[in-house]
Amino acid sequence: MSRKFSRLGGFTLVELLVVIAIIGILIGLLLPAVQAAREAARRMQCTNKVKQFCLAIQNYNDAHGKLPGFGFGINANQTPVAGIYPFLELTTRYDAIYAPSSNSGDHDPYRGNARWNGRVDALLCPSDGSASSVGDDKPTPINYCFSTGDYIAGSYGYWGNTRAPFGMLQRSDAWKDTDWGGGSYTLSAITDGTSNTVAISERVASPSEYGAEKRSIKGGVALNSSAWSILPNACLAKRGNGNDYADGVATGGGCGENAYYYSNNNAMFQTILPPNAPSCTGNADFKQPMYAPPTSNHSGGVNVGMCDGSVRFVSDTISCETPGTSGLAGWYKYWGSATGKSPFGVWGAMGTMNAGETDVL
Amino acid sequence: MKKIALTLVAALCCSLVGTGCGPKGLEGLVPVEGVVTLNGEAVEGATVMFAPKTYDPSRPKGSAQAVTDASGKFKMSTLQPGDGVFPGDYYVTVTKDRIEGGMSLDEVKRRRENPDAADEPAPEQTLIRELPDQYADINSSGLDQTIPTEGNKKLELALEGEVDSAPRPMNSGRGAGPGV
Repeated sequence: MSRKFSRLGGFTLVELLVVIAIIGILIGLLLPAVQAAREAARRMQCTNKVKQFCLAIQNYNDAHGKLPGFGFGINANQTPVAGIYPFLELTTRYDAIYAPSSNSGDHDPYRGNARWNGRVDALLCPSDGSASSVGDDKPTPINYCFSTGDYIAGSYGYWGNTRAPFGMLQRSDAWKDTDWGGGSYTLSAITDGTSNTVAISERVASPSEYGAEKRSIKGGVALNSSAWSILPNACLAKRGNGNDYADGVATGGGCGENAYYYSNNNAMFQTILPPNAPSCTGNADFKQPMYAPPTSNHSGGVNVGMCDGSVRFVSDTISCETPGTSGLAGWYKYWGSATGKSPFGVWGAMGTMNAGETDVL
Repeated sequence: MKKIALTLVAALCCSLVGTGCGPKGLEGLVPVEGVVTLNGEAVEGATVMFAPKTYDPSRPKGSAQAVTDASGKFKMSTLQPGDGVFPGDYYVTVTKDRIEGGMSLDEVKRRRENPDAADEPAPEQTLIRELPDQYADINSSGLDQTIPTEGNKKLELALEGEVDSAPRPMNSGRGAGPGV
């Protein structure tokens, strides 16, 4: 008996291995579920931030009688982002940004005054960690962006259109407008219905990679392919395997690197190419016309906030035609004067506010 | 006993490696492959685009695209690389453009770090066509295709004609319209 007991006091190597293996398998089964649950939680948090953003836009509209617009602010180089800060409980930052200064350059987000720097949690999607290393001495990074509909903003984003709630990007109007909130619409301009019209979505950022190569479709932009020189389809053809651009495609990073500076890489997107499709522009300074579809690290789609404040998840596979009846010549004609229903399927219809489509998601 | 232990360890490794899940694809696509030639010679780096003749809102996305490899071969993609095309009638265009005069990444970075340099005018860019103009437009390409339900793996897009490789200015000012 005592001999048997002493044998029971220890385990053989094989027995230990078996136990470790069983525990390992159990952890192995559990780990992906935990990771998925963590991502689901981050996505939910992102949904909430999109919702808050939408509500801030609504509250801005209530207070100002119109939607926030590009060209906002004392200096017209601005996105609508800072304007909605008072409605996101970021009044302190708002006051700092618009504090008087004898140097007019301080009011230009491009000129690097400290008031435009530092991370703002409300502007960042938790699934995209690329902005987490941005310090307080760097421009404010951003993931959330305003819809310019099924129409591309021109060079610098200054070419206006009248089809989307945030499409009116005509800088010349904003220059003259001494009232804050330059060129923008009222909610009554959204005749397709606020619940059918996209207000905001998200784009993966790459703030620290401005002027550097960025192979990933999420956060990177294909260069030498200005949206004026190629069809949307040709931009889709820049996709290589997986989530990277194809070999040989020149790329640049720097998406969402300055939340306030109004340029094609910051705070704007279109409903032309489907979610998580490649982006295309001319130079990596983002001053040429750009295809900028929304992108995210959520599985299979992006969060989209509608003009009525509701939030939807839009799948990568949403109906999204690219112009079929017109070719390149027709694309240019469309550019010159986009009228009538969107040629970009349900996704394009969601982007326009007054084109009279009946397509809904 | 040792064998059981080894099996269990192997099973552990498999369970850790094999738990990834791929992206969702589209259903109903059929394979379309082919080759692009200009005056009998294979064309590398040409973009082939399929635009559906009719819009079907019930399917996710009808248009497809591909880029040719060194031997002129291509494999059409709708959403994911090489996933194929929905059966149906398509306008087909083939283009190969080169843009010259783009800004280097170093120059872009220099301008970003010197805000005053931002006001310097960007270098002129020009677009150069490397295939005849007619194939860039669905109305003149003459390459229309009907894709049957079994797909088409032997598509031959034989282009012919002279290339007008004169540089074309790429205007980007408001209202100017692209000069292509």
